[in-house]
Amino acid sequence: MTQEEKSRQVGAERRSGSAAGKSGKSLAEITEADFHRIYRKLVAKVRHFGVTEEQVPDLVQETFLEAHRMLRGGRFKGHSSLDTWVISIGKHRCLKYHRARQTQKRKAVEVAVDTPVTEDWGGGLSLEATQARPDKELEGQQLLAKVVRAMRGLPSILRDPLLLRVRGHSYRQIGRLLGIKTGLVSSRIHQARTELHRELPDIRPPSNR
Amino acid sequence: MDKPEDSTTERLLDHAALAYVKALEETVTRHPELETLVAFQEGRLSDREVADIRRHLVVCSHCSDEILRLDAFDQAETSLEGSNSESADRGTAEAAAGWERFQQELGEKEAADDGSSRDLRSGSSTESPRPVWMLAASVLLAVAGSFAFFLAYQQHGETSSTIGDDPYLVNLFPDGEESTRTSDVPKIAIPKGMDSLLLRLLLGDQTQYRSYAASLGPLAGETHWQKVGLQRQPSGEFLFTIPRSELPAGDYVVRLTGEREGAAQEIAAYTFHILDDP
Repeated sequence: MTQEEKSRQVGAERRSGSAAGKSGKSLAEITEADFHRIYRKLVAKVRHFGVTEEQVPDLVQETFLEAHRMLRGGRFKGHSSLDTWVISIGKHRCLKYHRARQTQKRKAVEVAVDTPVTEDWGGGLSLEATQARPDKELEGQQLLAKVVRAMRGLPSILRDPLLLRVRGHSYRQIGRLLGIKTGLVSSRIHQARTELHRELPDIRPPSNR
Repeated sequence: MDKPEDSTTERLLDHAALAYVKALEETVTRHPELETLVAFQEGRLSDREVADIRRHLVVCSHCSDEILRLDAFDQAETSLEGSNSESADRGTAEAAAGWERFQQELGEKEAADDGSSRDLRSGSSTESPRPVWMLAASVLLAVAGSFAFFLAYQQHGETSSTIGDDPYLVNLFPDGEESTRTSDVPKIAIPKGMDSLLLRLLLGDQTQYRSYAASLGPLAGETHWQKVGLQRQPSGEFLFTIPRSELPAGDYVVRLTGEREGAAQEIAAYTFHILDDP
């Protein structure tokens, strides 16, 4: 194969988005055509990841710069298409960014730790109620202790879907996180609640005195 | 037959269950590494590892949220055909602007590269009216650290011969902070071809010191490398390079110290592990 034919083949692979993938050839840089094609895919994905809108162009830009640096360093081995490889770098970037944001938020929460906690059902789990209503606090703590005991007694296949549910996840999300079908999530949560009722037959809200 | 569910009791149970799971979450001090979480999300872990991660996800809202976000990333519609010509045009314009910015930032990197070489050879550049450090500083802000080492080099008066042509950038959190988010000390594999490690030490403490220094040593051993005269970046972090030759595989700690009223104080320690050559 002549040099010209080789160049043509690499060019064709790049245009198809399969880049060096199948042929094992390495690339030295991202062309404008590569950039345009991948940029639009990447922007859509970064937006779906859930970062702020103003952060999207920065994350996409950082992704391309990192991809460029890695290409220069010969880190693209051609095991996948160029598009897939760059998008994978973008995915890691998003996760790193999100973790950094979470760390910042956690520090902010630690600063605000003195904020009183309230519970809308008047249980004794709140710090505020603990100080103001010791009788309710006791009731609430006893209730919590009972529920904790009952929870611990549940098999994890029933307990885990329920815990994710009370956190606010949808059945579909719970199924995804636990690797089970949505229908099974629903029946296990129902079963978990039934078991809890059986274990805690006399459970009722703390009285409003 | 099941007992009919009373909605108040149901809510009460859910509140108690939520209090229980939140209490469990407070006991979580270790989280899967970023790579492990991505591997889980992509279905690349063994059954046993998957079971471990799932147990963690039940009690960790941060990591379960991250998995769902990664799913959303993967499932995003990436068709290039927009729903209408207006959105297609906007996408094209954004991509064009992105390409321009990409080219500009690459150009600035190369200019900074050339500028530093010229300075070493002839003392100054005649092409740019701005000092090289200003150019490098703008790159630092724009590229979020990828090229920050140029600034660090110029500020510290190092020459390119003592620095690798392509340092490997690593962010480190002080011990006791990031360790609550990740399962182990950071493990660093310096890629082949990288002659030095560019460390970015992140620091939340805003106390100002007269001067800063960093010392490197094995986790259980004496300091064998030191960097004095460090300058804190406007964003609060410290940047400096360590030659690869100083970092054979093993556990290390970098101690950041500050001088105040004539006395040196340790500000933070950063533990990390260097892996064998990949």
